[in-house]
Amino acid sequence: MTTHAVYADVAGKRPWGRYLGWGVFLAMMAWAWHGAEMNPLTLYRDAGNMGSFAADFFPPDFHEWRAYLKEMVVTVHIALWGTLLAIVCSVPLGVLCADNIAPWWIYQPLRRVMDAFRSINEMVFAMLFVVAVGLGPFAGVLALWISTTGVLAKLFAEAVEAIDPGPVEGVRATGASALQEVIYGVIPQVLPLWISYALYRFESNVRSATVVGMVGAGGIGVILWENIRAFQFTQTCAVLLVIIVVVSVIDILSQRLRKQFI
Amino acid sequence: MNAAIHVDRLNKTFARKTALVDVALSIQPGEMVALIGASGSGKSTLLRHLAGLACCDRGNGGQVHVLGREVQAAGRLSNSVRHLRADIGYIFQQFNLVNRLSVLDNTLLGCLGRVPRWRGSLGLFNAEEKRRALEALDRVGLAALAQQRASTLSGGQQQRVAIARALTQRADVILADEPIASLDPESACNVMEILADINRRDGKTVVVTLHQVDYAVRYCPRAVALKAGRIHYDGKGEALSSQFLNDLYGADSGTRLMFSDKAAGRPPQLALAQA
Repeated sequence: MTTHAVYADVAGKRPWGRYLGWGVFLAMMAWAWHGAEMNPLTLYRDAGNMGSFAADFFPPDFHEWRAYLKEMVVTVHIALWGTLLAIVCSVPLGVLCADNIAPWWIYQPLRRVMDAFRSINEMVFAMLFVVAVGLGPFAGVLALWISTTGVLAKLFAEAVEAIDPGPVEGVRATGASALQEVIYGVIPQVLPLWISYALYRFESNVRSATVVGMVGAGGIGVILWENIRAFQFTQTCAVLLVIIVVVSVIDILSQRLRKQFI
Repeated sequence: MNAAIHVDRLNKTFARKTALVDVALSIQPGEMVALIGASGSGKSTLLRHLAGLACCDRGNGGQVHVLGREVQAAGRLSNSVRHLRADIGYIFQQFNLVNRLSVLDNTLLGCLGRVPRWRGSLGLFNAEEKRRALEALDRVGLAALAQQRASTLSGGQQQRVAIARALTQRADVILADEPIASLDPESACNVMEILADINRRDGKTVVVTLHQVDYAVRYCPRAVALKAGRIHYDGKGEALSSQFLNDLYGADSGTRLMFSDKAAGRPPQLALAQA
């Protein structure tokens, strides 16, 4: 094609594709509006009710603060073990889910399993494990372990897929085994990113661990759910404040730590 | 059949593009050979096949033997290729060091093919292996930087670490793929000096791909030229004439591809001690 023809082609092009894209987007949002029964008017109409409901939360009642703190510590323990077990599993799974390391007949089935782990929320896993291993924090650990493995293995694999193949080949050329290629060629390249992802998942697991208790899987969620069910809103407020403070502190500390590695 | 490297009927096709056509080549132990040719002529591809880092076409029954052992045949890598690679040192244009490891650790990786797998995987190298790695670093003039991270070194220094890794490996054959293409002229001379010294003093077989022809003429007694995936010339390095090179690279007859036609006669200026 001559430059002239290319110019005419570019100048004469109408962005029909873009109009169509916007049309599809707007149609989808309109459909979802109905599906979700969006009704902003109620916000205005029932503003008084909501105001008095909010007022019921104050002042927060901290009489039982020892119990709250104890259960909050248990919540963090659930998050710690759930994350640690997930990291241990995600290291090999992350490597085996990477298409530049594993053959397709390994990474394809493994990725589908990880998709399944991710697509089911940890609350659902928590309910299932409560049935399997009984009420208590261990069910929560198992739930977080499964769903976090699904997420971390995917993130780890994406980091592995972005590596520079040079060092891997450098290690291969020394006569190293396949495992040694991964240990010396891959892991040093992805380690900072892996640590950062793992810490980030720990942060979000502390948040998740506060709710798995609502289905009986231990931690502060148990107290939270009991208070809400008993309409003890001043105590509910105190529990929420404890959660906010602890989760924020852990977020900030973990963020500081993550910055060290990137 | 005592050749250090023996290649027969090697063909390689990348998605419709032929890279190597019926390449046959024999290199004796202790030779220092330059592989020259224009970009895309197949010299790097050929070198990668020698170390089993690439696999040839299945159809033509191509074979690569190194040190009398099969690297690949008819498009399949030998089962023992990982063991064989321990005897083949490979030096890359982009050095291919592990950036986050120290210079010494990178050099120690050369031992991986020699020590038991479990020990190599855990990184448990013994005093003897560490001494050997330090000696190799000393030989390339970098023992003082052993504790530094590889990523903090200059390009020339990184390439010398890569050579130290190959020395630690105690390979009998050293393959160097454009080892000086990313380096400044002084580092380039330095690296070529070290490679020539390994060839002369240790009697190791060295095959080096180069696109700077004057380095090939100066350092390599034998040169093999590739053109469009075929062997175009195989003979004395010093016999490469300007006219032949212009033909090889398809350059205009007025372009000078060498500093001097007499480059081969000049002794190398840079001593190892300066490294």
